[in-house]
Amino acid sequence: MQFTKEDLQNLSALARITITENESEKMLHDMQAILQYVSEINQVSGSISRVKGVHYNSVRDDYVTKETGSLSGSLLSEAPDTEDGYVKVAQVLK
Amino acid sequence: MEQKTLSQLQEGLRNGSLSVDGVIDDTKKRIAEKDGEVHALLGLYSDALIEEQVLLAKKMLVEGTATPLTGIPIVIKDNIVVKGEKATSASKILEEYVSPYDATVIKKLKEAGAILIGRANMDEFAMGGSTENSAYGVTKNPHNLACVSGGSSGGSAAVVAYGGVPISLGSDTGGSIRQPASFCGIVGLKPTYGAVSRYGLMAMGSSLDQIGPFGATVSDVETVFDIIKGHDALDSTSLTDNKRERVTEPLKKKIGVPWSFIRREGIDKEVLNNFEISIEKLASQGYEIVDITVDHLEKALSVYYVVVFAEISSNMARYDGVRFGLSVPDENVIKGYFKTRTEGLGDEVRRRILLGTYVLSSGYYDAYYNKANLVRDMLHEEFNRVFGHVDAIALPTSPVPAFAIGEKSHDPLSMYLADIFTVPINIVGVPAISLPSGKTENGLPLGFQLVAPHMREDVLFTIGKDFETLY
Repeated sequence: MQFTKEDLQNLSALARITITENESEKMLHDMQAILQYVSEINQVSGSISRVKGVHYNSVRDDYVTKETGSLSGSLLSEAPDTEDGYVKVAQVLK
Repeated sequence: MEQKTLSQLQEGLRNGSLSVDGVIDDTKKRIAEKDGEVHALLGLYSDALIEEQVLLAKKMLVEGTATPLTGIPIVIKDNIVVKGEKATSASKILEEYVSPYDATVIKKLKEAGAILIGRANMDEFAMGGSTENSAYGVTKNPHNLACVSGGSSGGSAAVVAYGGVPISLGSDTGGSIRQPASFCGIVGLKPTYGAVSRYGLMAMGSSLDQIGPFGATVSDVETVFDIIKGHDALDSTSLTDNKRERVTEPLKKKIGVPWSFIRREGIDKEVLNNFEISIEKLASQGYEIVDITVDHLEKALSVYYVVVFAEISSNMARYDGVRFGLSVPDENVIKGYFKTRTEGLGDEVRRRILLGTYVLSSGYYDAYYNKANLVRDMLHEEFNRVFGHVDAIALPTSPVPAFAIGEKSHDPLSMYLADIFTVPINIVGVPAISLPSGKTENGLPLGFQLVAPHMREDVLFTIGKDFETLY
Protein backbone atom coordinates (compact mmCIF):
# COMPACT_ATOMS: atom_id res chain seq x y z
CA MET A 1 0.00 0.00 0.00
CA GLN A 2 2.47 2.63 -1.11
CA PHE A 3 1.12 6.13 -0.71
CA THR A 4 1.78 7.99 -3.96
CA LYS A 5 1.88 11.52 -5.27
CA GLU A 6 -1.45 10.85 -7.03
CA ASP A 7 -2.98 9.81 -3.70
CA LEU A 8 -1.80 13.09 -2.22
CA GLN A 9 -3.36 15.06 -5.06
CA ASN A 10 -6.65 13.20 -4.75
CA LEU A 11 -6.77 13.72 -1.01
CA SER A 12 -6.06 17.43 -1.28
CA ALA A 13 -8.95 17.77 -3.71
CA LEU A 14 -11.24 15.87 -1.32
CA ALA A 15 -10.12 17.81 1.75
CA ARG A 16 -10.24 21.19 -0.03
CA ILE A 17 -6.61 21.90 0.75
CA THR A 18 -3.99 23.00 -1.74
CA ILE A 19 -0.53 21.45 -1.49
CA THR A 20 1.88 23.54 -3.49
CA GLU A 21 4.55 22.04 -5.73
CA ASN A 22 7.22 23.30 -3.30
CA GLU A 23 5.82 21.51 -0.28
CA SER A 24 4.47 18.36 -1.93
CA GLU A 25 7.71 16.36 -1.77
CA LYS A 26 8.17 16.82 1.98
CA MET A 27 4.46 16.32 2.64
CA LEU A 28 4.55 13.08 0.64
CA HIS A 29 7.65 11.86 2.45
CA ASP A 30 6.23 12.66 5.93
CA MET A 31 2.86 11.08 5.16
CA GLN A 32 4.50 7.93 3.78
CA ALA A 33 6.60 7.57 6.94
CA ILE A 34 3.58 8.11 9.20
CA LEU A 35 1.31 5.72 7.28
CA GLN A 36 4.01 3.07 7.22
CA TYR A 37 4.39 3.37 10.99
CA VAL A 38 0.68 3.18 11.84
CA SER A 39 0.19 0.23 9.47
CA GLU A 40 1.63 -1.93 12.27
CA ILE A 41 -1.90 -2.20 13.66
CA ASN A 42 -2.54 -4.69 10.88
CA GLN A 43 -0.27 -7.14 12.71
CA VAL A 44 -2.96 -7.49 15.38
CA SER A 45 -5.25 -10.38 14.52
CA GLY A 46 -8.95 -10.30 15.25
CA SER A 47 -12.13 -9.63 13.36
CA ILE A 48 -13.23 -6.04 12.98
CA SER A 49 -16.80 -7.29 13.25
CA ARG A 50 -16.30 -7.60 17.02
CA VAL A 51 -15.76 -3.85 17.45
CA LYS A 52 -18.35 -2.63 19.89
CA GLY A 53 -17.00 0.46 21.62
CA VAL A 54 -18.82 1.98 24.55
CA HIS A 55 -21.57 3.88 22.83
CA TYR A 56 -24.96 4.79 24.14
CA ASN A 57 -27.47 7.40 23.16
CA SER A 58 -27.51 10.64 25.05
CA VAL A 59 -30.41 12.88 24.19
CA ARG A 60 -31.88 15.82 25.99
CA ASP A 61 -35.32 17.36 25.78
CA ASP A 62 -35.72 19.69 22.88
CA TYR A 63 -36.74 23.00 24.37
CA VAL A 64 -36.13 26.63 23.54
CA THR A 65 -33.58 28.24 25.87
CA LYS A 66 -33.17 31.59 24.16
CA GLU A 67 -35.59 34.04 22.66
CA THR A 68 -35.67 33.69 18.87
CA GLY A 69 -33.15 36.01 17.29
CA SER A 70 -31.39 36.91 20.52
CA LEU A 71 -28.11 35.41 19.29
CA SER A 72 -28.47 36.23 15.60
CA GLY A 73 -26.56 39.48 15.83
CA SER A 74 -23.48 38.07 17.51
CA LEU A 75 -23.44 34.99 15.26
CA LEU A 76 -23.86 37.03 12.09
CA SER A 77 -21.15 39.43 13.19
CA GLU A 78 -18.67 36.54 12.86
CA ALA A 79 -19.64 35.86 9.25
CA PRO A 80 -17.37 37.30 6.56
CA ASP A 81 -20.29 38.77 4.62
CA THR A 82 -23.99 39.18 5.39
CA GLU A 83 -27.08 40.69 3.82
CA ASP A 84 -30.51 41.22 5.42
CA GLY A 85 -29.77 38.81 8.24
CA TYR A 86 -28.38 36.09 5.98
CA VAL A 87 -24.81 34.84 5.51
CA LYS A 88 -23.76 35.83 2.02
CA VAL A 89 -21.60 33.47 -0.04
CA ALA A 90 -20.08 33.54 -3.53
CA GLN A 91 -22.02 31.98 -6.38
CA VAL A 92 -22.32 28.19 -6.08
CA LEU A 93 -23.81 27.24 -9.47
CA LYS A 94 -23.31 29.00 -12.74
CA MET B 1 6.65 38.91 44.46
CA GLU B 2 6.94 35.13 44.60
CA GLN B 3 3.89 33.35 43.13
CA LYS B 4 1.76 31.79 45.80
CA THR B 5 -0.04 28.49 45.40
CA LEU B 6 -3.79 28.42 45.09
CA SER B 7 -4.16 27.29 48.70
CA GLN B 8 -1.93 30.14 49.97
CA LEU B 9 -3.90 32.72 47.95
CA GLN B 10 -7.19 31.29 49.22
CA GLU B 11 -6.08 31.62 52.80
CA GLY B 12 -4.75 35.15 52.29
CA LEU B 13 -8.00 36.28 50.66
CA ARG B 14 -10.10 34.72 53.41
CA ASN B 15 -8.13 36.14 56.33
CA GLY B 16 -7.75 39.54 54.71
CA SER B 17 -3.95 39.58 54.44
CA LEU B 18 -4.42 39.70 50.66
CA SER B 19 -6.92 41.69 48.59
CA VAL B 20 -8.40 40.68 45.24
CA ASP B 21 -7.10 43.90 43.67
CA GLY B 22 -3.64 43.26 45.06
CA VAL B 23 -3.59 39.68 43.77
CA ILE B 24 -4.64 40.77 40.28
CA ASP B 25 -2.13 43.65 40.19
CA ASP B 26 0.66 41.28 41.20
CA THR B 27 -0.44 38.77 38.59
CA LYS B 28 -0.39 41.35 35.82
CA LYS B 29 3.03 42.60 36.93
CA ARG B 30 4.53 39.13 36.96
CA ILE B 31 3.11 38.40 33.51
CA ALA B 32 4.41 41.72 32.14
CA GLU B 33 7.82 40.90 33.58
CA LYS B 34 8.13 37.31 32.38
CA ASP B 35 5.90 36.73 29.39
CA GLY B 36 8.02 38.71 26.96
CA GLU B 37 10.71 36.04 27.01
CA VAL B 38 8.55 32.93 27.57
CA HIS B 39 5.53 33.84 25.39
CA ALA B 40 3.03 31.70 27.28
CA LEU B 41 0.12 34.03 26.54
CA LEU B 42 -1.54 35.13 23.33
CA GLY B 43 -3.23 38.01 25.12
CA LEU B 44 -5.02 39.15 28.25
CA TYR B 45 -8.80 39.14 28.53
CA SER B 46 -10.57 42.49 28.32
CA ASP B 47 -10.42 44.84 31.30
CA ALA B 48 -14.22 44.70 31.37
CA LEU B 49 -14.23 40.93 31.95
CA ILE B 50 -11.47 41.07 34.56
CA GLU B 51 -13.17 43.96 36.36
CA GLU B 52 -16.54 42.18 36.36
CA GLN B 53 -14.99 39.09 37.95
CA VAL B 54 -13.03 41.17 40.48
CA LEU B 55 -16.27 42.85 41.62
CA LEU B 56 -18.02 39.50 41.89
CA ALA B 57 -15.12 38.00 43.87
CA LYS B 58 -15.09 40.89 46.34
CA LYS B 59 -18.84 40.58 46.82
CA MET B 60 -18.59 36.81 47.40
CA LEU B 61 -15.79 37.29 49.95
CA VAL B 62 -17.79 39.92 51.83
CA GLU B 63 -21.02 37.93 51.74
CA GLY B 64 -19.33 34.72 52.82
CA THR B 65 -20.28 32.88 49.61
CA ALA B 66 -16.69 32.51 48.41
CA THR B 67 -15.66 29.24 46.76
CA PRO B 68 -12.10 27.88 46.76
CA LEU B 69 -11.54 29.74 43.45
CA THR B 70 -12.98 33.13 44.41
CA GLY B 71 -10.47 35.86 43.58
CA ILE B 72 -7.99 33.36 42.10
CA PRO B 73 -6.38 34.30 38.76
CA ILE B 74 -6.54 31.63 36.06
CA VAL B 75 -5.28 31.33 32.48
CA ILE B 76 -7.30 29.50 29.80
CA LYS B 77 -6.00 27.57 26.78
CA ASP B 78 -7.04 29.43 23.66
CA ASN B 79 -9.26 26.62 22.33
CA ILE B 80 -11.79 27.15 25.16
CA VAL B 81 -14.25 29.94 24.43
CA VAL B 82 -15.15 32.92 26.62
CA LYS B 83 -18.10 35.13 25.68
CA GLY B 84 -17.10 38.38 24.01
CA GLU B 85 -13.40 37.44 23.97
CA LYS B 86 -11.06 36.24 21.27
CA ALA B 87 -10.39 32.50 20.95
CA THR B 88 -7.97 31.58 18.17
CA SER B 89 -6.77 28.02 18.89
CA ALA B 90 -3.42 29.59 17.88
CA SER B 91 -4.57 29.46 14.25
CA LYS B 92 -4.60 32.12 11.55
CA ILE B 93 -8.04 30.88 10.52
CA LEU B 94 -9.51 32.15 13.83
CA GLU B 95 -7.27 35.21 14.24
CA GLU B 96 -10.22 37.59 14.64
CA TYR B 97 -12.78 35.17 16.09
CA VAL B 98 -14.76 36.44 19.07
CA SER B 99 -16.93 33.90 20.87
CA PRO B 100 -20.65 34.57 21.26
CA TYR B 101 -20.89 32.21 24.27
CA ASP B 102 -19.11 30.77 27.30
CA ALA B 103 -17.83 27.20 27.44
CA THR B 104 -19.42 25.28 30.33
CA VAL B 105 -16.10 25.22 32.22
CA ILE B 106 -15.88 29.01 31.82
CA LYS B 107 -19.41 29.44 33.12
CA LYS B 108 -18.48 27.36 36.17
CA LEU B 109 -15.26 29.29 36.78
CA LYS B 110 -17.08 32.61 36.48
CA GLU B 111 -19.77 31.51 38.91
CA ALA B 112 -17.07 30.36 41.33
CA GLY B 113 -15.63 33.89 41.31
CA ALA B 114 -12.36 33.00 39.55
CA ILE B 115 -10.60 35.82 37.69
CA LEU B 116 -9.95 34.90 34.06
CA ILE B 117 -6.69 36.60 33.15
CA GLY B 118 -5.52 35.61 29.71
CA ARG B 119 -5.41 33.23 26.75
CA ALA B 120 -2.67 30.61 26.65
CA ASN B 121 -0.58 29.76 23.60
CA MET B 122 -0.81 26.23 22.20
CA ASP B 123 -0.12 24.15 19.13
CA GLU B 124 -2.57 25.14 16.41
CA PHE B 125 -5.92 23.43 17.17
CA ALA B 126 -4.05 21.42 19.85
CA MET B 127 -2.18 19.43 17.22
CA GLY B 128 1.39 18.97 18.39
CA GLY B 129 3.58 18.40 21.41
CA SER B 130 5.75 21.52 21.62
CA THR B 131 3.69 24.66 20.76
CA GLU B 132 5.97 25.00 17.73
CA ASN B 133 2.83 24.59 15.60
CA SER B 134 1.29 27.80 16.99
CA ALA B 135 0.71 30.38 14.27
CA TYR B 136 1.85 32.98 16.81
CA GLY B 137 5.27 31.68 17.84
CA VAL B 138 6.62 29.05 20.21
CA THR B 139 6.24 29.11 24.03
CA LYS B 140 9.69 28.70 25.59
CA ASN B 141 10.38 26.55 28.60
CA PRO B 142 10.74 28.76 31.72
CA HIS B 143 13.46 26.38 33.01
CA ASN B 144 15.54 26.73 29.84
CA LEU B 145 14.54 29.21 27.15
CA ALA B 146 16.25 27.18 24.39
CA CYS B 147 13.82 24.31 25.03
CA VAL B 148 10.15 23.81 24.26
CA SER B 149 7.51 24.04 26.98
CA GLY B 150 5.81 20.95 25.60
CA GLY B 151 2.37 20.85 24.09
CA SER B 152 -0.12 21.21 22.97
CA SER B 153 -1.08 23.10 26.18
CA GLY B 154 2.44 24.60 26.45
CA GLY B 155 1.30 28.12 27.30
CA SER B 156 -0.99 26.92 30.10
CA ALA B 157 1.91 24.97 31.64
CA ALA B 158 4.59 27.65 31.19
CA VAL B 159 2.54 30.47 32.73
CA VAL B 160 2.05 28.44 35.92
CA ALA B 161 5.70 27.32 35.89
CA TYR B 162 7.06 30.88 35.73
CA GLY B 163 4.67 31.99 38.44
CA GLY B 164 2.30 34.11 36.36
CA VAL B 165 -0.82 32.46 37.79
CA PRO B 166 -1.32 29.60 40.25
CA ILE B 167 -3.66 27.57 38.00
CA SER B 168 -4.67 27.21 34.35
CA LEU B 169 -6.83 25.09 32.07
CA GLY B 170 -5.63 23.01 29.15
CA SER B 171 -7.00 20.20 27.01
CA ASP B 172 -5.56 16.72 26.58
CA THR B 173 -6.23 14.57 23.51
CA GLY B 174 -3.08 12.44 23.61
CA GLY B 175 -0.99 13.95 26.40
CA SER B 176 -1.42 17.68 25.82
CA ILE B 177 -1.83 18.46 29.53
CA ARG B 178 0.47 15.84 31.08
CA GLN B 179 3.48 16.25 28.77
CA PRO B 180 3.81 20.06 29.12
CA ALA B 181 3.21 19.72 32.88
CA SER B 182 6.12 17.28 32.93
CA PHE B 183 8.37 19.50 30.78
CA CYS B 184 7.61 22.55 32.96
CA GLY B 185 7.84 20.84 36.36
CA ILE B 186 4.23 21.23 37.52
CA VAL B 187 1.14 19.06 38.09
CA GLY B 188 -1.30 18.38 35.21
CA LEU B 189 -4.49 16.30 35.29
CA LYS B 190 -6.25 14.59 32.38
CA PRO B 191 -9.64 13.67 33.86
CA THR B 192 -11.77 10.68 32.87
CA TYR B 193 -13.27 11.03 29.39
CA GLY B 194 -16.66 12.64 29.98
CA ALA B 195 -15.91 13.90 33.52
CA VAL B 196 -15.60 17.55 32.47
CA SER B 197 -17.95 19.12 29.91
CA ARG B 198 -16.39 19.96 26.56
CA TYR B 199 -19.13 22.34 25.48
CA GLY B 200 -17.14 25.31 24.20
CA LEU B 201 -13.90 23.41 23.65
CA MET B 202 -12.88 23.46 19.99
CA ALA B 203 -13.02 19.82 18.94
CA MET B 204 -9.97 17.93 17.72
CA GLY B 205 -10.36 14.20 18.44
CA SER B 206 -13.87 13.99 19.83
CA SER B 207 -13.54 10.48 21.27
CA LEU B 208 -10.34 11.52 23.09
CA ASP B 209 -10.48 15.23 24.04
CA GLN B 210 -10.80 16.23 27.68
CA ILE B 211 -10.34 19.54 29.53
CA GLY B 212 -8.20 19.53 32.67
CA PRO B 213 -6.27 21.74 35.11
CA PHE B 214 -2.63 22.63 35.78
CA GLY B 215 -1.28 23.73 39.16
CA ALA B 216 1.77 23.72 41.38
CA THR B 217 0.40 21.05 43.71
CA VAL B 218 -1.94 18.04 43.59
CA SER B 219 -4.32 19.74 45.98
CA ASP B 220 -4.58 22.84 43.73
CA VAL B 221 -5.37 20.70 40.71
CA GLU B 222 -7.95 18.76 42.71
CA THR B 223 -9.65 22.01 43.75
CA VAL B 224 -10.04 23.14 40.13
CA PHE B 225 -11.21 19.69 39.01
CA ASP B 226 -13.92 19.65 41.70
CA ILE B 227 -15.30 22.93 40.37
CA ILE B 228 -15.22 22.19 36.62
CA LYS B 229 -16.44 18.57 36.67
CA GLY B 230 -20.06 17.47 36.40
CA HIS B 231 -22.72 16.37 33.94
CA ASP B 232 -23.70 18.85 31.25
CA ALA B 233 -26.68 18.34 28.96
CA LEU B 234 -24.93 20.49 26.36
CA ASP B 235 -22.18 17.87 25.88
CA SER B 236 -23.61 14.55 24.76
CA THR B 237 -20.42 12.74 25.82
CA SER B 238 -20.63 14.11 29.36
CA LEU B 239 -21.09 11.34 31.92
CA THR B 240 -24.47 11.33 33.60
CA ASP B 241 -24.61 11.27 37.39
CA ASN B 242 -25.37 7.56 37.63
CA LYS B 243 -22.20 6.83 35.65
CA ARG B 244 -20.17 8.86 38.12
CA GLU B 245 -21.13 6.76 41.11
CA ARG B 246 -18.38 4.49 42.27
CA VAL B 247 -17.50 2.07 44.99
CA THR B 248 -14.77 3.62 47.06
CA GLU B 249 -13.05 0.62 48.56
CA PRO B 250 -9.90 1.33 50.53
CA LEU B 251 -6.77 1.35 48.36
CA LYS B 252 -4.87 -1.91 47.98
CA LYS B 253 -1.71 0.23 47.89
CA LYS B 254 -0.67 -1.67 44.79
CA ILE B 255 0.82 0.02 41.75
CA GLY B 256 1.33 -1.74 38.43
CA VAL B 257 4.35 -0.93 36.27
CA PRO B 258 4.56 -2.20 32.66
CA TRP B 259 8.35 -2.55 32.85
CA SER B 260 8.91 -4.16 29.46
CA PHE B 261 6.97 -1.33 27.77
CA ILE B 262 8.94 1.32 29.66
CA ARG B 263 12.45 -0.13 29.24
CA ARG B 264 12.39 0.45 25.52
CA GLU B 265 14.63 1.76 22.82
CA GLY B 266 14.36 5.53 22.63
CA ILE B 267 13.74 6.22 26.31
CA ASP B 268 16.19 8.75 27.71
CA LYS B 269 18.58 7.28 30.31
CA GLU B 270 17.94 10.02 32.84
CA VAL B 271 14.17 9.62 32.41
CA LEU B 272 14.39 5.88 33.03
CA ASN B 273 16.73 6.31 35.98
CA ASN B 274 14.48 8.96 37.51
CA PHE B 275 11.43 6.74 37.02
CA GLU B 276 13.13 3.81 38.75
CA ILE B 277 14.05 6.04 41.68
CA SER B 278 10.45 7.28 41.94
CA ILE B 279 9.18 3.71 42.01
CA GLU B 280 11.66 2.83 44.77
CA LYS B 281 10.51 5.85 46.75
CA LEU B 282 6.87 4.79 46.45
CA ALA B 283 7.83 1.28 47.52
CA SER B 284 9.52 2.75 50.59
CA GLN B 285 6.20 4.48 51.39
CA GLY B 286 4.52 1.10 51.67
CA TYR B 287 3.24 0.73 48.13
CA GLU B 288 3.52 -2.72 46.61
CA ILE B 289 4.95 -2.52 43.10
CA VAL B 290 3.89 -5.22 40.64
CA ASP B 291 5.19 -5.86 37.15
CA ILE B 292 2.29 -5.87 34.69
CA THR B 293 1.90 -6.60 31.00
CA VAL B 294 -0.79 -4.97 28.93
CA ASP B 295 -1.33 -6.72 25.60
CA HIS B 296 -1.17 -4.47 22.53
CA LEU B 297 0.16 -1.51 24.51
CA GLU B 298 2.95 -1.27 21.90
CA LYS B 299 0.29 -0.59 19.28
CA ALA B 300 -1.42 2.19 21.22
CA LEU B 301 0.49 4.96 19.46
CA SER B 302 -0.62 3.77 16.03
CA VAL B 303 -4.19 3.27 17.19
CA TYR B 304 -4.19 6.77 18.61
CA TYR B 305 -2.91 8.45 15.48
CA VAL B 306 -5.31 6.62 13.14
CA VAL B 307 -8.28 7.56 15.33
CA VAL B 308 -7.15 11.15 15.85
CA PHE B 309 -6.46 11.73 12.13
CA ALA B 310 -9.93 10.40 11.26
CA GLU B 311 -11.66 12.59 13.84
CA ILE B 312 -9.61 15.65 12.89
CA SER B 313 -10.53 15.40 9.23
CA SER B 314 -14.20 15.39 10.23
CA ASN B 315 -13.98 18.11 12.88
CA MET B 316 -11.90 20.47 10.78
CA ALA B 317 -14.40 20.46 7.91
CA ARG B 318 -16.27 23.28 9.68
CA TYR B 319 -13.46 25.76 8.94
CA ASP B 320 -14.56 26.74 5.48
CA GLY B 321 -14.58 30.54 5.61
CA VAL B 322 -18.34 30.77 5.19
CA ARG B 323 -19.89 31.38 8.62
CA PHE B 324 -16.98 32.51 10.77
CA GLY B 325 -13.23 32.83 10.81
CA LEU B 326 -10.84 33.76 8.02
CA SER B 327 -12.41 33.93 4.58
CA VAL B 328 -10.35 34.26 1.44
CA PRO B 329 -12.85 34.71 -1.37
CA ASP B 330 -12.39 33.39 -4.89
CA GLU B 331 -14.60 33.25 -7.97
CA ASN B 332 -16.82 30.54 -6.48
CA VAL B 333 -17.49 28.96 -3.09
CA ILE B 334 -15.43 25.82 -3.72
CA LYS B 335 -12.33 27.72 -4.80
CA GLY B 336 -12.81 29.93 -1.76
CA TYR B 337 -12.69 26.83 0.51
CA PHE B 338 -9.32 25.89 -0.95
CA LYS B 339 -7.87 29.36 -0.52
CA THR B 340 -9.25 29.84 3.00
CA ARG B 341 -8.07 26.46 4.30
CA THR B 342 -4.69 26.69 2.61
CA GLU B 343 -3.93 30.17 3.89
CA GLY B 344 -5.59 29.77 7.27
CA LEU B 345 -4.32 26.36 8.42
CA GLY B 346 -0.71 25.45 9.26
CA ASP B 347 1.35 22.50 8.00
CA GLU B 348 0.57 20.05 10.81
CA VAL B 349 -3.17 20.72 10.70
CA ARG B 350 -3.28 20.27 6.93
CA ARG B 351 -1.15 17.11 7.15
CA ARG B 352 -3.49 15.58 9.73
CA ILE B 353 -6.60 16.47 7.73
CA LEU B 354 -5.07 14.74 4.68
CA LEU B 355 -4.07 11.68 6.71
CA GLY B 356 -7.56 11.49 8.19
CA THR B 357 -9.13 11.77 4.76
CA TYR B 358 -6.89 8.87 3.71
CA VAL B 359 -7.65 6.51 6.61
CA LEU B 360 -11.37 7.13 6.20
CA SER B 361 -11.41 6.65 2.42
CA SER B 362 -13.41 3.63 1.29
CA GLY B 363 -10.44 1.50 0.21
CA TYR B 364 -8.59 1.86 3.51
CA TYR B 365 -11.35 2.29 6.09
CA ASP B 366 -11.20 -1.31 7.34
CA ALA B 367 -7.41 -1.53 7.28
CA TYR B 368 -6.90 1.60 9.33
CA TYR B 369 -9.93 3.03 11.10
CA ASN B 370 -11.82 -0.15 11.88
CA LYS B 371 -8.64 -1.99 12.78
CA ALA B 372 -7.70 0.84 15.13
CA ASN B 373 -11.10 0.59 16.80
CA LEU B 374 -10.65 -3.15 17.24
CA VAL B 375 -7.30 -2.69 18.99
CA ARG B 376 -8.82 0.14 21.00
CA ASP B 377 -11.47 -2.24 22.32
CA MET B 378 -8.81 -4.79 23.18
CA LEU B 379 -6.79 -2.19 25.08
CA HIS B 380 -9.91 -1.21 26.97
CA GLU B 381 -10.41 -4.80 28.11
CA GLU B 382 -6.74 -5.10 29.03
CA PHE B 383 -6.81 -1.99 31.22
CA ASN B 384 -9.97 -3.21 32.96
CA ARG B 385 -8.28 -6.55 33.62
CA VAL B 386 -5.17 -4.88 35.09
CA PHE B 387 -7.23 -2.54 37.27
CA GLY B 388 -8.81 -5.64 38.80
CA HIS B 389 -5.68 -6.11 40.88
CA VAL B 390 -3.89 -2.73 41.10
CA ASP B 391 -5.02 0.74 42.25
CA ALA B 392 -3.03 2.58 39.61
CA ILE B 393 -0.53 2.16 36.81
CA ALA B 394 2.72 4.16 36.79
CA LEU B 395 4.61 5.33 33.70
CA PRO B 396 7.02 8.14 32.91
CA THR B 397 5.00 11.01 31.40
CA SER B 398 7.38 11.43 28.47
CA PRO B 399 10.28 9.28 27.23
CA VAL B 400 12.43 12.42 26.97
CA PRO B 401 12.84 15.68 28.90
CA ALA B 402 11.98 18.99 27.17
CA PHE B 403 13.76 18.98 23.81
CA ALA B 404 15.43 21.90 22.05
CA ILE B 405 13.28 24.26 19.99
CA GLY B 406 13.56 23.10 16.37
CA GLU B 407 14.92 19.65 17.25
CA LYS B 408 11.84 17.70 16.17
CA SER B 409 9.76 20.23 14.28
CA HIS B 410 10.89 19.04 10.85
CA ASP B 411 10.11 15.41 11.49
CA PRO B 412 6.45 14.88 12.49
CA LEU B 413 6.87 11.14 13.12
CA SER B 414 9.64 11.71 15.67
CA MET B 415 7.35 14.21 17.41
CA TYR B 416 4.55 11.61 17.48
CA LEU B 417 6.84 8.96 18.99
CA ALA B 418 7.35 11.18 22.06
CA ASP B 419 3.65 10.59 22.90
CA ILE B 420 4.18 6.87 23.53
CA PHE B 421 3.40 6.95 27.28
CA THR B 422 0.47 9.37 27.23
CA VAL B 423 -1.74 8.31 24.30
CA PRO B 424 -2.82 4.88 25.66
CA ILE B 425 -4.65 6.70 28.46
CA ASN B 426 -6.81 8.75 26.06
CA ILE B 427 -7.58 5.67 23.98
CA VAL B 428 -9.02 3.96 27.05
CA GLY B 429 -10.54 7.15 28.49
CA VAL B 430 -9.17 6.71 32.02
CA PRO B 431 -7.80 9.59 34.15
CA ALA B 432 -4.08 10.27 34.59
CA ILE B 433 -1.93 12.83 36.34
CA SER B 434 1.63 14.03 35.73
CA LEU B 435 3.61 14.82 38.89
CA PRO B 436 6.99 16.59 39.10
CA SER B 437 9.72 14.05 39.94
CA GLY B 438 12.94 16.04 40.03
CA LYS B 439 15.24 17.29 37.31
CA THR B 440 17.89 16.15 34.85
CA GLU B 441 21.55 17.04 35.39
CA ASN B 442 20.95 20.01 33.11
CA GLY B 443 18.11 21.25 35.28
CA LEU B 444 15.18 20.20 33.09
CA PRO B 445 12.09 18.97 34.99
CA LEU B 446 10.91 15.37 34.74
CA GLY B 447 7.44 13.96 35.24
CA PHE B 448 5.94 10.83 36.79
CA GLN B 449 2.57 9.66 35.47
CA LEU B 450 -0.12 7.83 37.42
CA VAL B 451 -3.15 6.27 35.74
CA ALA B 452 -6.34 5.21 37.56
CA PRO B 453 -9.59 3.47 36.56
CA HIS B 454 -12.52 5.46 35.12
CA MET B 455 -13.84 8.12 37.54
CA ARG B 456 -11.13 7.35 40.10
CA GLU B 457 -9.39 10.71 40.09
CA ASP B 458 -9.50 10.36 43.88
CA VAL B 459 -6.92 7.56 43.60
CA LEU B 460 -4.61 9.88 41.63
CA PHE B 461 -4.99 12.60 44.26
CA THR B 462 -4.37 10.26 47.19
CA ILE B 463 -1.25 8.63 45.74
CA GLY B 464 -0.18 11.95 44.19
CA LYS B 465 -0.18 13.66 47.59
CA ASP B 466 1.97 10.85 49.01
CA PHE B 467 4.28 11.17 46.01
CA GLU B 468 4.65 14.94 46.46
CA THR B 469 6.22 14.45 49.87
CA LEU B 470 8.99 12.37 48.26
CA TYR B 471 10.40 15.20 46.11
